[in-house]
Amino acid sequence: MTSTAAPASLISRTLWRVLPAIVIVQLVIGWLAWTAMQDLVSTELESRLHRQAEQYAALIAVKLETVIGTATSVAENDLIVNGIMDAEGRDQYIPVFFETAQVSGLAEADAEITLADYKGRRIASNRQDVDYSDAAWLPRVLNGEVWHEVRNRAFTVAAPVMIADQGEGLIVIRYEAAELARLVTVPARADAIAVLADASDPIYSSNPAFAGLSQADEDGRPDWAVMSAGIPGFEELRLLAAERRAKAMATVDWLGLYLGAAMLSSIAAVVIAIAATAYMGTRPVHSFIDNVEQITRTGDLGQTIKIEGTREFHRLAGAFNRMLKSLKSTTASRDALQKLNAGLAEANEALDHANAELERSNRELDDFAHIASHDLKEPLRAISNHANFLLEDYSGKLDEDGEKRLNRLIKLSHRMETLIADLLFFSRIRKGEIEEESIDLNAIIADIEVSLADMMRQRNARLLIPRPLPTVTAAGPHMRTVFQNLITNAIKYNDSEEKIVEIGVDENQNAAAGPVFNVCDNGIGIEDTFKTDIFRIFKRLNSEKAYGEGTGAGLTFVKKIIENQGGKIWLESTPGEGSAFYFTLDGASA
Amino acid sequence: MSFLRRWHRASILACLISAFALPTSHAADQGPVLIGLDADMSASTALGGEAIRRGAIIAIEEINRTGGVLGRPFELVVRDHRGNPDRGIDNIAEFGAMEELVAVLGGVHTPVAMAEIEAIHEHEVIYLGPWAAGTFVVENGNEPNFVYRISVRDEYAGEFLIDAALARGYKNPGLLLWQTAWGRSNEVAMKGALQRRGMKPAAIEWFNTGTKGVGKQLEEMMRSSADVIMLVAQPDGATTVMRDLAALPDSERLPVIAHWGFTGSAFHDDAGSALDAVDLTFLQTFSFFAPPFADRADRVMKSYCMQFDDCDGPASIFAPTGTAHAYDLVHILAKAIEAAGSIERSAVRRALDALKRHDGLVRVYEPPFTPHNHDALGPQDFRLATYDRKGVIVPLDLP
Repeated sequence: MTSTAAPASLISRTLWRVLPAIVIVQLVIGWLAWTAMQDLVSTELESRLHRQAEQYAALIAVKLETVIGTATSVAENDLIVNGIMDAEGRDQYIPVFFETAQVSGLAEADAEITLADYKGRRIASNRQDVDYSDAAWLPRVLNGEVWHEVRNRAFTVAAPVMIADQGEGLIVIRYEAAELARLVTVPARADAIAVLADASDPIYSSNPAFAGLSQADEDGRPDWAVMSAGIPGFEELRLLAAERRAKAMATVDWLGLYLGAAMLSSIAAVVIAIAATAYMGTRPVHSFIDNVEQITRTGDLGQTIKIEGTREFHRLAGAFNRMLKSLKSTTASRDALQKLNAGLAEANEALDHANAELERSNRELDDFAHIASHDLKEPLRAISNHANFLLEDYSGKLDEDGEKRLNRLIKLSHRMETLIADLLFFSRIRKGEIEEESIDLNAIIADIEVSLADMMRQRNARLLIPRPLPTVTAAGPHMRTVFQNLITNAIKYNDSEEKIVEIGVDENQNAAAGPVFNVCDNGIGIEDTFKTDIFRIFKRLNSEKAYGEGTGAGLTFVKKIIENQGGKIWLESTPGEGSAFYFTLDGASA
Repeated sequence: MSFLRRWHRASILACLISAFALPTSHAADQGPVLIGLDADMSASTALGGEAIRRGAIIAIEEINRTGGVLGRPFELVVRDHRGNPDRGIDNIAEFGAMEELVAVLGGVHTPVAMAEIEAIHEHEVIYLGPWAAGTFVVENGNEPNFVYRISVRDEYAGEFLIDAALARGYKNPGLLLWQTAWGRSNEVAMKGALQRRGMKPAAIEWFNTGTKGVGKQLEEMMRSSADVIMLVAQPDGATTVMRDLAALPDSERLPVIAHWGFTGSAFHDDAGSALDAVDLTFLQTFSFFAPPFADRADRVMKSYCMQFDDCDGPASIFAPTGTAHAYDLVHILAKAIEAAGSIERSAVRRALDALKRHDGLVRVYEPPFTPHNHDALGPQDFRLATYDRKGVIVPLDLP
């Protein structure tokens, strides 16, 4: 069902077609960007935490290594070595050594430092009641190994005091939980730093909110992003760096808002751009339309379309103006055009009337011919019949003259019928009466030659066709009538011993008009004065006694058929030598 | 370590000899009488410990060959204190728990002996010191005093060394002392000796065990115009002093008159070429090159060379003082046991105090000890010695 609603404007149509796609694309891009930002921020967070964890771990490792270095240095200090040997006097200087800044950092850290003998028994210490006799690591240390461990939230370092390649005592530095926590405290940029030992509670956590950690938390928690790093050289320790996910993702949230605002702004900008572009594009179109409508209303081809807008509209308006100018200069004014159209219309009307009259006249003529033929033939037939009756019935009663006159009457009646038939036939020769078709003229002539075989044999006539005739579009019976009449006349009106009839076609003579057919003979010829009369119906130039019977209508039929075909017929003849009839079929003239 | 291997072989040999020498008596059924040796057998003064062990072995072999003591052979039980006083204390406690142990021979050096004083008296172990010069090792204030010594006494050594320095024309000795009980003992002895001569040390400098250099101390010596260094050092310290001295210009390289603390070690090898540059003399008490009693020395020498494969004359006895002191101490102990008629330590201790005479390798002890004097040697038994080019300790006054 055809919609009768007004068509949508360019702006709305463009918007409806473009805007949904833009919105979808923007949403997809926005979602992808949002997701990518989240991933990026999350990845960056993890990377940052990992770097921080490694940095802090390295820092703590340095701190712990410093303690180990301190223990080793102290164990190598000649005052300490001497203290192993000087059982009598070491109590005078070892405690002072421990208590002073000579043992860097330990006093401030409040760590334990102990000089123990070769069995782990306390020689001197800043702690009472220390004994490492049962320490499992004692033999290893006395063999020269510097040993350390973090166990039960305490950091213990033991360095041997070597004398003559064997440990004769050891220095033990020990950080209990609180001191160890202070030792591993590092200034952290992360929200939380925790140091774990084994599966125990954290040794240290910078953020109480990040408490309750275990190694299971290294996989992260919903509220915290956690990265861990081993502390180099201290396999039993792990450092966790953590940051609140909400804090880290806050940036993403803000970016999301900005992204959303940017998307909305982008969509709005697209809408505005489309509208503006459509407006700028359609404004010259509207102006163009207004101008065209005005020209249409006024019919003033002298008006011009205003050239404005984009280059394309400039071209359009310019071409339209040139078209208007061309219309104005090459055609009549509107009134002349209207008059011409009116004249053409009248002429067409008259032509239609004439055609109608002609058709009516033809119909009346056909009717008249049919009626006249029938009406004329009826009495003639009756005359002939009565004559035959009289001849049959009264043949004995009539004298020779009377029989001769009855025979003459019969013959004349027959002749009259023939004339009427020819007249009827002549009246019916009209273009379109018989359907035209593609005709092989060679086949028609061959058929005519067969039908005239007896005549040609009796008269010693020969038909020549130097080369094949072309195929033409015409009514087949009419073409037969043309060639049969021309061939028959060429044979009949011929006194030559051997009567030659030649049928040919000349393609080169006025080739644009089509071929020129010719029927030439070596007959009696025709004088120039009779070249027109011979085509009159029933006109004979020679008596029946001289050259046989005939109505004299044959050439009339040929002429009418040819002229109905759009062609023309003429002849060239020399009396006593022969004649040549030329004709065309498509309005060609010689 | 070749000494340990030799020690093992000698111990086994001694045990076998003792077993065959034992008279078949009830006493033999009680097993050997144990003598402990608590010395540095593996650390920096291991040569001193080995020297002591060898002297004890030779004496034990002689005693066991004649029936042992109370019909029982002596057997030496060795414990290694590595110069570590804490090990020494534990060894004394272990020895003290041995029922058949009558006495313990000490080893190098004074810091260990000093640390062991309390344990010695707690466990009432007779301590026979062949190589610990600290005055207060013997003068330890205990009563009864279980410590006996045939060795240098710093109080005497101080006098002797200061006299030696002054006899050589030195007028401003500086003291370079090991920061231990032994160093402090010699500080008292030498300062006392100088004070009695109206003198004071030019400088008193200390160094610790394991010190990497004594440059500052030597500078102080030079700054204080010391003309001789009185050195009290263990082998590592003495080596460091020699090297640092050898590195100095000739004009700054002071001569050294030293106590004997480095002589029971590989000091000569460790100090190396430094000894070619430094005028070093040191305290000794005995030399097989000039023994006071040649026949006794010859007999002991022969026994030494029979026992130990590395012996080819007096030059091969690397620490003659330790060997000689231990030899004499074991013989004196045997006499005391015989006199006591028992190995009960207090009885033996009293017998030690009561012995009248012993003709020892180092000297004629008449008596070896008295209840108030547990030091058998005096300044008359001291001499200066030095190293020859082969590292053999030879008396300075050797003809």
